[in-house]
Amino acid sequence: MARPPDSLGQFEQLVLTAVLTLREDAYGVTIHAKVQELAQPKSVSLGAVYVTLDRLEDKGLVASWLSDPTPERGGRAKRCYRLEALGARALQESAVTAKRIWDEIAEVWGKELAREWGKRWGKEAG
Amino acid sequence: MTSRGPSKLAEALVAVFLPPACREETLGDLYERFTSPPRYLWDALRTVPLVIFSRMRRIVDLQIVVIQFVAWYLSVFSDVWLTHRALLGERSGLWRFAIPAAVAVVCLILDDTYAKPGRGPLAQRFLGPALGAAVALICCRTTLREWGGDLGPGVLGFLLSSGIRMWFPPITNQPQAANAPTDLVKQESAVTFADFRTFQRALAVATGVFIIAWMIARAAPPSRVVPALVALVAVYAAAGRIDGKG
Repeated sequence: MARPPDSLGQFEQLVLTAVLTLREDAYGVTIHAKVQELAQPKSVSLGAVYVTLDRLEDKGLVASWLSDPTPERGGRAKRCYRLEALGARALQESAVTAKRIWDEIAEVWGKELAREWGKRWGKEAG
Repeated sequence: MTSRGPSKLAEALVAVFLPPACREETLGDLYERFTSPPRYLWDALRTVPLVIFSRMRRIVDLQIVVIQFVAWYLSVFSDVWLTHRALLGERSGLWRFAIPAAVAVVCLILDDTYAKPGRGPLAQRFLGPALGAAVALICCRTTLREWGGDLGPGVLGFLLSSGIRMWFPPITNQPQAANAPTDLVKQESAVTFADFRTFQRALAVATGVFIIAWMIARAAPPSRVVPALVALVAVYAAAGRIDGKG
């Protein structure tokens, strides 16, 4: 019986989102690139992504396996990741909470300002 | 991305510091991100410490660490109580016993962190305590100058520590997934007949490391402790390789 997931930290949300969007191509380098893109303008180290992936794996939110070795990696295998059902649920809860926060902010400060923010940070306001 | 890769030397250097359980994928990722040698080293410097930390976080059980520390502390304390009771009355005497104990526990943690995933369970339970005992003996020599260099703290610490590891085996062989089938985890913990050959080797290695450490602790002045430690770790690493091939 799967226990309900703990609430996710912001960086965990970014990593889970990267694993979700990359699907079959989710491994260290691609996940790091995607997280870097999502976390702009902050800089993210590859090591921080590894630590978070390990923690998410321990919580049962993602699963990993080693792929076959490839020549572009010097004949070394990739550790690929996929989102588990528990991880999908945790990410869904986080997204709903983020949406609620966004709606509340837009309500108080006005939709125009919210849209302005969205453009400023490179995202379309909802 | 470029087809050129890092030099073999740079890769070998990085590989030394990476725990074997995550060496393959980390080296592969660093290789794939390679653009220039300085950039590779900078990437490795930023990545490797966090990989080591993450591996330690995964395998270290804080409760077991505390139990191990108490066991090692009691080993040093009981030896001093039996043989050099005057040390107990000294100012900060009791605190000084904590240094060899802490060093031994650090050795155990490092042994688990750098254990090869395929290492036999019995070797896994003896090699760490053997290294811990050896380093604790050498450490006793530097922190407790009045201590005569007898085997007491090492023997007792080794016995207690390996006993604790038998009851609570380290999880270094566990697959890198928390939700791995329970069968795999059980398979790892079960002791099979083939393990007894590993047991004999582990016991021989433990005895060898132990004797060397005892000789160093008895004979070498404190200034020779660092080279002695380097030699000891080299012997230990060689023993680990032999064990891995077995």
